[in-house]
Amino acid sequence: MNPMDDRNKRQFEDELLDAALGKRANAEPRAGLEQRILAGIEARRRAPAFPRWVWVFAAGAAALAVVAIIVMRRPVAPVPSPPPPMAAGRVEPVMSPAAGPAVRRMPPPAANSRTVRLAVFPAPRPLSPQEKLLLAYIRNGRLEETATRLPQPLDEDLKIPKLDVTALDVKPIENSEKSPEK
Amino acid sequence: MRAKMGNSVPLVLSETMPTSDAASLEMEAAVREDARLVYRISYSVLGNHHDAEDAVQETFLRYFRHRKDWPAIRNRRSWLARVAWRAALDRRRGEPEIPLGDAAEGVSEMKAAGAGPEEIAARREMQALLEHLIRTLPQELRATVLLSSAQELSSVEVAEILGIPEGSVRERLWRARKILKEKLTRVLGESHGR
Repeated sequence: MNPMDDRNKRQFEDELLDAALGKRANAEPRAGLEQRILAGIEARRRAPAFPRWVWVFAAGAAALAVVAIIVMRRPVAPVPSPPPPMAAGRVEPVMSPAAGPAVRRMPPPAANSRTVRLAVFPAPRPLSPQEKLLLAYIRNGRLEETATRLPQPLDEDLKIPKLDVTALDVKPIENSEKSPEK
Repeated sequence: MRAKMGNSVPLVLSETMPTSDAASLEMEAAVREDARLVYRISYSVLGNHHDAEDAVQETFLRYFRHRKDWPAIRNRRSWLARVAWRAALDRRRGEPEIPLGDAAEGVSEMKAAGAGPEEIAARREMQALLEHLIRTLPQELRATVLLSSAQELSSVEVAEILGIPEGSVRERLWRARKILKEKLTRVLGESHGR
């Protein structure tokens, strides 16, 4: 390459680099930059810290919580259950072939509100003779004596219904010559 | 001139951000005097108007949020330049729109057609090519070139932003320019040879 050309080329690239860097440095903003900056800051300044939907959501959640607490604290009173829907107006479900086997739904146990809740579980009931015997044994410590005090089943009068047996009528055996075996 | 903050009547501009007349005046002054500087720094990093303007907005918003610290800020211009630099770096993303090969080819064609340096420098291809070349520089040289290319900043201010001595700025700028020129020569030579 001709030295003159080489020098010209280097000078051209120097100038090109200077011009490109200068062009980059002289970037001018679009008109009205200052107004846009101030308006943007003002808009941010006036914006509430939380958007409105946050407050609406919080108020709704608080209301739900209050309702839930009130419902949970209310005493439960027995409510008479309505008569079971039976007979006349009953509509049988129509089963489509693709519906699969019918599932029999049992009424939920909570529906029977007539059931009185007992304070003690299991429910108290009268003692059986065996339990009475055991209790007496525990109290006086002597088994035989205790056992005699208890009513014995054999002591009671047996009431056997009167049997009525009809007399058997036995016929005499005839001659056995006509036996098919002979 | 810095507005005096102490005994002004408070003016509530919103429920959460009480401010004062003096603060509003100071914001207006800062925007009026330094918006161009902030914009040029942002543009030098980001290379497009839209992103640069977003960075400018963010910079001044940060300045407003730090209004309690205003009395302690000795040099507002340097403070804004530093924040603008960081905001622009945070927003920097992706490659330039024009690929390196296309940009180099476009510049070579213009040069072959007899276009002068000023004419070529004004084209998008040359700006994209310069952007590609700057990105290949080592980080400390790249930062120096980008900040120095914003003409509003002196080498003293660049040094303050980067936290280095002023002499280092000049030295880095010289090295960066040398590398950029070598790369430009090589890229245009390769493109011309195709």
